[in-house]
Amino acid sequence: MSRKKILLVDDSSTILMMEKFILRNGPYELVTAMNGEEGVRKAAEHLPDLILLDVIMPKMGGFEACRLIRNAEETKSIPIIMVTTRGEAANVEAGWANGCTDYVTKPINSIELLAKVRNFLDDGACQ
Amino acid sequence: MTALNPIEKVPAMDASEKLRTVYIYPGQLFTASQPVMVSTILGSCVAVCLWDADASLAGINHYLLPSDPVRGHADLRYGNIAIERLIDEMVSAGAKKARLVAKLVGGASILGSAGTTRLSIGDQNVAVARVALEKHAIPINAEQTGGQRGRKLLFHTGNGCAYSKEI
Repeated sequence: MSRKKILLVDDSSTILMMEKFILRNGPYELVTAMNGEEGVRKAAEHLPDLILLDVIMPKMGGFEACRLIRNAEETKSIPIIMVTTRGEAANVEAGWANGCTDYVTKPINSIELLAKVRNFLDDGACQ
Repeated sequence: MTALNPIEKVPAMDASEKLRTVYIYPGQLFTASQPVMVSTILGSCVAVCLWDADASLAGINHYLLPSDPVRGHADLRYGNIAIERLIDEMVSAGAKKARLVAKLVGGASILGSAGTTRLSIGDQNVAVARVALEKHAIPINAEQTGGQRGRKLLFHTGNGCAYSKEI
């Protein structure tokens, strides 16, 4: 079975480590970026099957990165899960307005993240 | 059964009757006997809104997955747990199960389900609500489910009205 590729974009190495830990047992190839600009570049370069995108990052934030990924022909269909901080409800709505496909909230819950990832990657393990 | 009211139809309020707004995230549940505008955003997740008009009691959940694969694992992210808990909390607060009516929102298949043989999580989330509500004989009087778009939902706990729009 081919491994699905997931791009993780977050300026926090702790969050990236946590996401990698949660996804470590899946048949996934994980690529990371530490700001929105790098995320947009790596999305075009790697054409991942799914992107996890933080909201507040240096150089370029998640909303702008989401828009750029959506506006580029080669990346416009890639599902994007926005990773927002719980308590910042406005970010959830803004994420949808900027083209994200779904969202999860920090602190990241492993059940929630895996469910969303499996839902989009259709790897047959919805429970 | 009818569709939900569009969000554009939320009645304008005077400043004096400005409602408190509460946002609920996946895995949360909220009940109220006072008027509050509950807001949430749903993709494949589902929210069940319950209303007892005689007791003026309202409740809403927001779950992520249809059922808990681990027996006894009481996590409100699962529909089978979240719906039972919502009903229990409504009844504990004074609602009568026989008077409850439900509204069902969410369950989108955002990438579509064409080409896959199994039900999407969104479809499964809606299905688990129908089964649970039917088991408790709670009628669904309005719903906005399925489709390929996320939704914003507003639920007024003072009158049981729900409003939604695709986003």
